[in-house]
Amino acid sequence: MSEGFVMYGLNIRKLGRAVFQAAALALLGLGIGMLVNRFHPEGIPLVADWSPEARLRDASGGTMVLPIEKAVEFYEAREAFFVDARPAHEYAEGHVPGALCVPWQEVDEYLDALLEKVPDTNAILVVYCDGEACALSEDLAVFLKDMGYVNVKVLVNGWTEWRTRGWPVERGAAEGKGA
Amino acid sequence: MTETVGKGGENKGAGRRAIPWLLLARLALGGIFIYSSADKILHPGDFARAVYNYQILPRALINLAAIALPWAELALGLCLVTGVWLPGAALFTNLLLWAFFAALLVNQVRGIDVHCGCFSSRPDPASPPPTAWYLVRDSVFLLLGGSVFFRVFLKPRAGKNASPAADGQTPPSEEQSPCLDG
Repeated sequence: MSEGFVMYGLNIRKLGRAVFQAAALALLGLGIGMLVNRFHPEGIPLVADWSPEARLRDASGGTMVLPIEKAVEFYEAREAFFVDARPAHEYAEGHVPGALCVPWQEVDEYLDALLEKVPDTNAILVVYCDGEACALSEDLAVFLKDMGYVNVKVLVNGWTEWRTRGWPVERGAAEGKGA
Repeated sequence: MTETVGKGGENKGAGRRAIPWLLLARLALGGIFIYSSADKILHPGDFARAVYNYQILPRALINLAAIALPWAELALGLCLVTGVWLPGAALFTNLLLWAFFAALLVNQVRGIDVHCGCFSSRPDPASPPPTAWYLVRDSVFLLLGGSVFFRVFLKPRAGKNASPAADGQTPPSEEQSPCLDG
């Protein structure tokens, strides 16, 4: 009878076997995963650079990331259009003064207003959302670039950066979506 | 085999068959793991982005996790369904489920929307935060995982000479306990 050693109702021998099996399953997952990834049409590098600068690097090697200091310069000289990629209700709670409300998750409904307000494709667009990993601004920036805007920038963690530095904040909903 | 003496299988009247809870929980959990691994295996880039959005793993480990995790999930699902290496699968499954739950909880507290990796200071009244729903859903998974763990490690029965003495319970009560669940 190899019942094993029982402690607090736990069969220790069985648990030991389970730990071994679990480790083997993890290694199996890693092994198969790495093997399949090599031949996967959408395969990814084993280690990638996940910094915003690297994620937003374009073909020419430049990055769309805009330092906050530069964004402030643009703001003070009124040289750029700020584009808020967060949901409309967060925009209404506070945004960079004059920023356009273009929630990435409902971009179709807000795109016409943007195209109308920014007819010049050479205009500088500063897209922001909130949080360093926030993908809304990045996705919107890439989208706007594909739409033909040449100077699209991303202000990483924009809203937090803007607020914590005490720059002016404007409240209220956008003038009317799609109008 | 020796345990069934005196119980006599199905006796009429009181003849409710023991529901195979362990098997049901295993199949449900195994199915969920297999199903959830498929999309991640097909689109590793998207999954890596999702792992990144959680902002828990160090950046250097994100892609490796995104590569290994779906296959580990598939293997776990198959083990749970077939019963091969069940102790290991039960242990690993519970570890993973608790890790997922903790990751969600941490981000709920930090206010990070795991969908976009962004902050959602206040949830949109029109669409409640998905994280809250994920937490509820994961709680169900945890219950399933916990029941498998319980049956595999703490209260093994059915077949192999389950020793009722081990947990101090008398054979009859153990025999009838499934009815309590129903």
